[in-house]
Amino acid sequence: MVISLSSNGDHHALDEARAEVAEAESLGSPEVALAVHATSGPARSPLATLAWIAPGSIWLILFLIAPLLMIVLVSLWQRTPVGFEPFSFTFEAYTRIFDTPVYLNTLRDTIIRAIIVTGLCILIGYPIAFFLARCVKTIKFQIALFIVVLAPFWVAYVVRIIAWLPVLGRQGVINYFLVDVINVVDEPISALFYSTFAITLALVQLYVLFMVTPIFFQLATLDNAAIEAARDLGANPGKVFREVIFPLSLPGVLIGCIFVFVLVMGEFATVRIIGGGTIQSVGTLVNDYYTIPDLPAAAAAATILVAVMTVGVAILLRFSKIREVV
Amino acid sequence: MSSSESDDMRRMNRRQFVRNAGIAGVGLTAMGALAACGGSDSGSSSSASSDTAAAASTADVAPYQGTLKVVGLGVDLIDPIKAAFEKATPGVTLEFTVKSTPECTQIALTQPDSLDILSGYYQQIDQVWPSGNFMAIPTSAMTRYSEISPLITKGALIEGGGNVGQGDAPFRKLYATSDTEVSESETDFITFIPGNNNADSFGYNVEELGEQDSWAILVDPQLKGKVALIDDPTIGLMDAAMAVEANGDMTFVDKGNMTKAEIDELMSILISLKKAGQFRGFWATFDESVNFMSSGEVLVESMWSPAVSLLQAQAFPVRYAAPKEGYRGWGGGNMIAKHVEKDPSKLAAALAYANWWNTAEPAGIMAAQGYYNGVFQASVDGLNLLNPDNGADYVGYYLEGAPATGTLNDPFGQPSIKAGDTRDGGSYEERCGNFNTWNSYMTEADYVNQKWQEFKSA
Repeated sequence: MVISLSSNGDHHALDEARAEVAEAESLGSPEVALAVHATSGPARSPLATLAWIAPGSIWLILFLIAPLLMIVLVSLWQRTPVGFEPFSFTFEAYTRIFDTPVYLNTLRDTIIRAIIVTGLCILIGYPIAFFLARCVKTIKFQIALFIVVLAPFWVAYVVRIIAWLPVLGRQGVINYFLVDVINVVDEPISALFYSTFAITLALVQLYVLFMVTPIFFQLATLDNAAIEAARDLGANPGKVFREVIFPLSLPGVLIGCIFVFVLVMGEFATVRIIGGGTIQSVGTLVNDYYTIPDLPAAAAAATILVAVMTVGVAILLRFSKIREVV
Repeated sequence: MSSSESDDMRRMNRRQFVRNAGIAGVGLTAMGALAACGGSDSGSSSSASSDTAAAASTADVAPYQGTLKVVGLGVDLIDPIKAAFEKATPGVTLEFTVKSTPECTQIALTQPDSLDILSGYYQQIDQVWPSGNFMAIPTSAMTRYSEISPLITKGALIEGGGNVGQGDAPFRKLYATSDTEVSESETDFITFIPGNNNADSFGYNVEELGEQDSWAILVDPQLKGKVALIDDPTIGLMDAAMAVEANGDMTFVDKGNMTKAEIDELMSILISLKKAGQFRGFWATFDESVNFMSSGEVLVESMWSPAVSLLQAQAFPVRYAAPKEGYRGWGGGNMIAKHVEKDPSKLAAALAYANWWNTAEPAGIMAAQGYYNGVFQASVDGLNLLNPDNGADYVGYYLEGAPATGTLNDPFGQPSIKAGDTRDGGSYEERCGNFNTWNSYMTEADYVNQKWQEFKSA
């Protein structure tokens, strides 16, 4: 990472390596060619491969696949006053949550919220990432600023959430300014807090970093040769950005979108606290079902959420053809 | 499991219980000495526990050394309580897990082995008791059973006097016929050992609103966007129902157990109010209710007495109304998880803890936040014990409705009540003689939950 950040020198190194490969191949010297290729992927024994994938696979099976399967199973079991009756298969939990329009409406609102927050994160996060990666010249300064960007993460999640009250509340800074300082309104504006607006604002503040980080790394590792080539061919800065930098940074944007979309879809604590309990997300609904307790309904609500999130991510990936760009 | 099998099981459990409870009695006699600091450990109650002890002649149980896991609310599971019990009972450590009432119910139902004691409430009984996760406690195992306030056992302080109130009043949920069934009349078993109870109302900002005495204020359109309710239908729905009724919008046959039609009508009123922006928030925790009020976000809300006393200690102009329609009552105590029965020493410790709540120190700590103990004398003794210099002033203010003659502190040492103040609603007899409704879990609870969700997301 550090090497690729020092943008000027390294593409020469890359070019040299490429030249070396080409030279080796043209010379028909298999030993040299193999040696060069080997740096990108040595041949391993199947046993070694297994050893490499084992930790990740075990982790995923234990902490992702197994709980997910369990959730799907519970969603298909009968509800009892103390939880559920194992292996008593039924779709009742699903019919129960679709009994009223609450779940469907909340799911719709959650998706809309996730899309809006993701969009705002791109609008705010991209310029930050661009500035950090392309405008700040020295690595030291770049890293220092990046750490500053990360700083909100050092503050506890709950603190970051409740810190909004003194800013947006009825007796908060903004209302104080509007009512008492510049006198543009008579009554404090309630819609600033415990509202959809406040939730959106808080979520953007919480998750914009998940957008900045991947875009930053993508932009920082751009091949400067491509940009120089565009300039040499007479492209103005706007055109260089539109036709070279932006398309090449798309994988970072997409990874950021996936992070933010998935995180916002699953949100419940921010929505609960900043919404003052008056606004729901699928997450708060799942929590409600869980406390009632109606565990199969909670599982069904969660299963549908996971399914919708998977579809959302699939659309993002397909729409963007991320693999091809990379 | 066939019913005869389960009956056999129940009988066996009962026998086993009587033996274990007898063993526990030994522990209790030791606790009697501690309870004596309340100054009124009556002869009858100690003879009751020695009777139980006599029933188990072989009783000899090592004192429990270890942890008791207690799940309950943040209002009573506080540090001074933990410290006082651990000091009085060497070797036993309390592990408090603080949750909201619905979360406590959820844990009690689905993870009963994760707790030893549930700091429970009468409105939880209909939902929790049928699970069989908790044990029926013989009345003889409660040290001060004979001294429980008739409010708890019979529904009124004076027979036939006052407004008993609709819904899950203590006398309707205190007695059990088995580990799964509740009785509305006196039996030899209780669902839990009664601890605190109170007459609740709404808290309001008196500086902004002036004196208020009707639940109708919660639905007053002039307070649009300045009202909050507690996010728990067994409590918040009661407040809303009393408000709608007081406002003359609808009537109920029994607010403690509404019909589907009544729930529909009430909810359509509440949903249109919410859509019009009446409710600023729904709070889930005690702290949230304090923040709502202190940040000026709401002017009136469902509130608990300790939240009011906390804000008063900060000189915030909050008052706890004495509604003319009557109070929303609640009561609680300590339920013992079924699995504790298997370990006689732990059972003794659990019973000792539950009985300890009826002694002076904890009762006094809670009384200075507005609560009453199920054994009323414990509240009186507690206020005197904790305030050796001016106990009478505390008793006068909190329990007798007299004006405070000097400044009174809350249990954390902060000045909370000014000289000359009189408690809203007056004395124990006045406040606990005028209940409108108690916190309640209804027959149509599933429907209520569904509608409550609709209300919150409207």
